Amino acid sequence: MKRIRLAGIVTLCALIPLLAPTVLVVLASLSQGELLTFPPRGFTIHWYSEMFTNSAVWTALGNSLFVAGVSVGLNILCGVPAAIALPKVGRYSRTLFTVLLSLGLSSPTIVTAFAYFDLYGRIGVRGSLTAVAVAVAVTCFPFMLWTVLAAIEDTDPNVVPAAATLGADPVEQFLFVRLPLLAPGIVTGALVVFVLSITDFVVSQVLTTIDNQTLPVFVYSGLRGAISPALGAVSAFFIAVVALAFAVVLRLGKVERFLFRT
Amino acid sequence: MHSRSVSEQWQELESRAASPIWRLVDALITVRTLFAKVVPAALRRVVALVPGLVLAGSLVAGLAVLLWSSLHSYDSFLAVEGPVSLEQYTGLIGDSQFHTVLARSLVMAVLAPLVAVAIAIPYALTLTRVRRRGLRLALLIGVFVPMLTGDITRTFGLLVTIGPGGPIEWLTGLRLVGNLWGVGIGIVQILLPAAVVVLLPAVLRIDPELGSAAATLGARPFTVFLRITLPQLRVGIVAAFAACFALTMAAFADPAILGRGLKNFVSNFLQDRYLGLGDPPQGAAIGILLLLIVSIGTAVILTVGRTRKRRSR
Repeated sequence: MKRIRLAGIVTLCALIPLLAPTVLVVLASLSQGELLTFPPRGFTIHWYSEMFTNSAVWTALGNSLFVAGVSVGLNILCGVPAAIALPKVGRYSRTLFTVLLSLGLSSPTIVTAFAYFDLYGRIGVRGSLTAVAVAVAVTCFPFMLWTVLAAIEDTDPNVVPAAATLGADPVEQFLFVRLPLLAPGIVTGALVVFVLSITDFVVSQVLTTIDNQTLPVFVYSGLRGAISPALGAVSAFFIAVVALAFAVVLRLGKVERFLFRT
Repeated sequence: MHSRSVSEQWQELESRAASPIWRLVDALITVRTLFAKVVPAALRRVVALVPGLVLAGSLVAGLAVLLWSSLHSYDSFLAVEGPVSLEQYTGLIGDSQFHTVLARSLVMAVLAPLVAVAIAIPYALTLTRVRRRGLRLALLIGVFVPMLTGDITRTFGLLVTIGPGGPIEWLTGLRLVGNLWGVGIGIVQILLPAAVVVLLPAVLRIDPELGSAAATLGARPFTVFLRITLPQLRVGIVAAFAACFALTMAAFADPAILGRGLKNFVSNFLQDRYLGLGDPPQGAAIGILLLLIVSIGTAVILTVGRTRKRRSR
């Protein structure tokens, strides 16, 4: 009994540093004055109106959305077939393929970024936003793969043979039986990839140029100077995007099942 | 009588076979049948993996290019690539700046995971034992917010909290930004959620009966935790530690923003050399070394964790 209480105290103490900075960002974005101070002085939504009238923010947001969109598309196109095929191949080739497919996560992000920087420089596509999106997609790929793999493990293995017994062609089995069953997993994976891509910083700051900055890189270039509440407004926007995606994922109920799988 | 009327009704049903969707399905079936006839079965199983492998293959190609550039000498004044040599690596081995940065990263990559895993164990235990859905949701959000808000928003939040003019400085007068304490806090904040996620499967596999059995035999709660719960978590702890080690070695945003560029880690050093000093082969060599250190370090941690388990049996 005492153990649980002690663990609970540690957990609650850990929860504060996990959540407090995010809450403070929102508070900070509402405070007056050019510089951030604590306790906050006054209340204003001036920074938000400034953010929404700044065209550079909109351009950066557009770039971020483009990168995230292409990354999600690539991940669905490549991740879903790979996840479906992976459990069917032999044991040794499966290990090999898994290692290869999760390389985007196991390789340090900065090394991935510069590997693409070098590669793009040699084939002459450096600076293209689509090229940035490909690199971002690779770093997010394992998350898509795992989510869909978990969804496949969750499905009843008898359903597809049952459809086959009823005379469904393999194409029909896939389109009308497997795909609808996997849809929540695919949506969860796509949302996770979307959030990871839109907030990606390390890869983008290497591969983007001054002309096609994504939003996190734009915020970073502002962070080097004094800490202004204006950046808090942009960060608060990011938090809103994440909160929305998280709410959808929780509603689908897949995250809890994925985490609490045994 | 009955069955005959059913079949008659069936024949009267309007057929949808001509609708475009079913035409498309029919076309797909034809394509697949032809495909199955042409391609041998062994290849057919792998064919769905091809798009994923192409995507991952682009990274392999990138890493190969990086390795190739790192094996050349380079004139950073003329920006000309010289002949093949090991100059970059020998240069790095003798570079005292690199030694400082590497030592700093390695020390942090051992200390930060220890702290993160030590907090993650009670966190994961509580997460699985909490009954109330609201509290469990709060704990889940606590795990996911730092993970998903991204490096920039997370470090900006920390900068507001522990930076100049923030509440911590206001309360205690401590200056944390620009030194290793600030960087360490930032790294532990991102390691903790990762450690919890890696630990959770192991925590869920704990047999609660063993703990109760030990308690019946008169073990105090702390003894139960130390001798029953922790050994069952060993595989998870080792995996969490390995993941945290890799993440800390690759840390980029925390040293850059919370360290104010004063406390560089290997990642920042790589970028400085590659872009700042304009010496791509040197940067490439650092990248290859970092990749090797992370891979070997993770493999060592995992094997050491496994061999200990065998001995204890």
